[in-house]
Amino acid sequence: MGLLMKLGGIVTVLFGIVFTLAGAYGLAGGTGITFTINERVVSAQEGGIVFLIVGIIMLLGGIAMTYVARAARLMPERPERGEWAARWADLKYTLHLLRKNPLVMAGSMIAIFFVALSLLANLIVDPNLAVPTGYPEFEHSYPFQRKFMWPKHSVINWGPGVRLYEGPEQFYLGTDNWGRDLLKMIILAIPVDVENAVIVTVLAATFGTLIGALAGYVGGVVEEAVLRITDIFFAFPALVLALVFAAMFGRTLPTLRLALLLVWWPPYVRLMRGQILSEKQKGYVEALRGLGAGHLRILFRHIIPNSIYPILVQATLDFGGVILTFSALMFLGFSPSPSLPELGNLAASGYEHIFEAPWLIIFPGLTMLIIALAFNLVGDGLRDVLDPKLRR
Amino acid sequence: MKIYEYVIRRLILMVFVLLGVSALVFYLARGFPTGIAPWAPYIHPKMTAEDIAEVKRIHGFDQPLHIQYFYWLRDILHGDWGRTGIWAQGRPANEVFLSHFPYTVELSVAAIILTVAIGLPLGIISALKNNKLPDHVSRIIALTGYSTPSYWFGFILQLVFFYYFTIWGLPHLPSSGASGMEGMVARVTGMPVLDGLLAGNLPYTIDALKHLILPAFSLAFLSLGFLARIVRASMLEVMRQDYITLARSKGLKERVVIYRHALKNALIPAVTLTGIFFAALLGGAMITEYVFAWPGVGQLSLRAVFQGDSNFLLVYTLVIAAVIVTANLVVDVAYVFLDPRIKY
Repeated sequence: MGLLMKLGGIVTVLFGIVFTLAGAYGLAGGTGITFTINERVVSAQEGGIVFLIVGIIMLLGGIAMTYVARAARLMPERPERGEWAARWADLKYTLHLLRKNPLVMAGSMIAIFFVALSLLANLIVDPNLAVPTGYPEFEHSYPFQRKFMWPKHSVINWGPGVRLYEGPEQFYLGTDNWGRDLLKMIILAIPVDVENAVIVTVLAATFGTLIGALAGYVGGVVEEAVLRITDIFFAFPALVLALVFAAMFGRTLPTLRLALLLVWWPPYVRLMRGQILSEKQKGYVEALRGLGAGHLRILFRHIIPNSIYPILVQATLDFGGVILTFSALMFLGFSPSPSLPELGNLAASGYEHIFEAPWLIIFPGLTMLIIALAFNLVGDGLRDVLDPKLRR
Repeated sequence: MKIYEYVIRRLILMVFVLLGVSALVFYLARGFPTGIAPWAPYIHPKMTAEDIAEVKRIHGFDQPLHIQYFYWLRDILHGDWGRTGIWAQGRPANEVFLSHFPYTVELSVAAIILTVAIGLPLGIISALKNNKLPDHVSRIIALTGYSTPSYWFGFILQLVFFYYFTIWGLPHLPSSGASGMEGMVARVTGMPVLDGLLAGNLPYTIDALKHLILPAFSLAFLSLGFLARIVRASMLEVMRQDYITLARSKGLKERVVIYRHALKNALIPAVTLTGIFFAALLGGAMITEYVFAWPGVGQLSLRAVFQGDSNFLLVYTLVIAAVIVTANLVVDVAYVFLDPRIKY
């Protein structure tokens, strides 16, 4: 097995070298040379880039293969498999415990539904409907004449002062301030929020975990410095910092993400540091050191995997929080464009018209509540299940 | 380490944290030439170019940013926090802050009372009926609390208790502001409810309380979930201890075991958490104040952000940060008195 992998690795590396050289040659010397593939004119440089990328990937893959093969030969095979088998069994047991909790099951179903919806949203609803050009019958502008309208034959009666729509189209959740269908806008808004929350949570958790692990493992001055910096961030009301940051750096999605990131990373640092401190004193770390394992290996291969669960729980719980804070920023007016379908932004358009068009705030907010609640249910259940004291 | 040594160490650290906070906000708020120029409120149309240059020189606005920071530090140590823009009539920033701070304090106190009054029983019930129906119900209430967009909940309350109650002809609650009878009583503390009580003016107090209910509940609803979950967790932890088993085996009634033996120890984290909550509410009431047009500092800071008024933002963040850091310190010291096992 090990030998076969090593051979394969070497062959891949050789091919990788050939491809890289060919690509570099095409890129450097192929100026002005073109050839036709499937009736499409391709320059030699374009081909060179493709070859170069493929070659580099093959090189790296081959090197990784030989390395794995060497590691497989050097390390006794049994314990390695045993470890993964143990982790797998642990995971299965966790899932088994989770399955017994109806709230967690309901939460994860809803969460999966929304994640799936966010992946499919642009297929279900035409994203052009969010912008004026999506309405050809209104000569490339929003259908303003039907703004703030509620379907006439609806079950809900919002009381006096509400404009009713009697046209041929069916708006299940009414229309917004541009005359767009609110239900379709909510569907289009879900991917925006979910995508942002995923990016911010993953980056914050990764960054915070790495910094915290480093601080906890190295200790001394580094630890003190990192902790004092997180102190500064903990002394802020979270929203204020994000607001000031967003106000100063402009209203674009990357800025808003960065602003949220600035607020969400410090808790992970503290969490991870605490984990590392308790993990560092355990016997297996000393044993690893005795076996001659390097610091990086001990930290990344053993300590972090053993203390990752609280981080996962925190990230799941933060997911809802990030959505809420992000939409709050949007609601307060930090949206890059007023027509961007985003839950907080949709709610903001109803801010001045709360009594004449209450659905504009109610339904986007409700969507947010359901998404956040689903993730919080999962996170809360995970925390209970992963708590070693409550586990048995 | 003695307790006072610990406190002194923390106080010294606190100074550095506050310096860090102010430096960060200073850089963010002053480093970008948007909004109100910090010297603009000092200038009036009759000033000559030399006068303006003089103003800039005195306050160091002509220096590079990192040197400006030290000018600013010098100024605030002399009690000059700079002036706000037109939006607050160009009054000194600290004066504006102080005149509106009592409203925020009142709101936070009311919210924290509601949080404890609802969150505590919820947590205890949750722990005692662990993984049974009451636990699930209280878990849903708690989780809904912190999954709710704060502005959304505020609007729902306004919509139901103000708009629809008016339409249905029911006694309704006011939807915005801190008091409907401004100027009826002398302003002593700045908190409408307290002022009304001090003046002995009952209608005024009741009116102020009516204005307080919706924003306070809207704020409390977001934090009571946290409290309930913490109380539940610490209660579960305590109930597993040997001394509870001992108390039970002595034949004590379950009620006595829970309220006399378990609760006392389980409440320690809850008490300390309440302190941190209070500090967080002071700084986090921004959106609720915005929705309910509550005249507190949170709403003002929001306006300052949009106006780009660095002076007010600096006062706001610095005071709130000081409150939060102090609350953390008080909580840590309180631990020592509440739990004799902890030593520093």
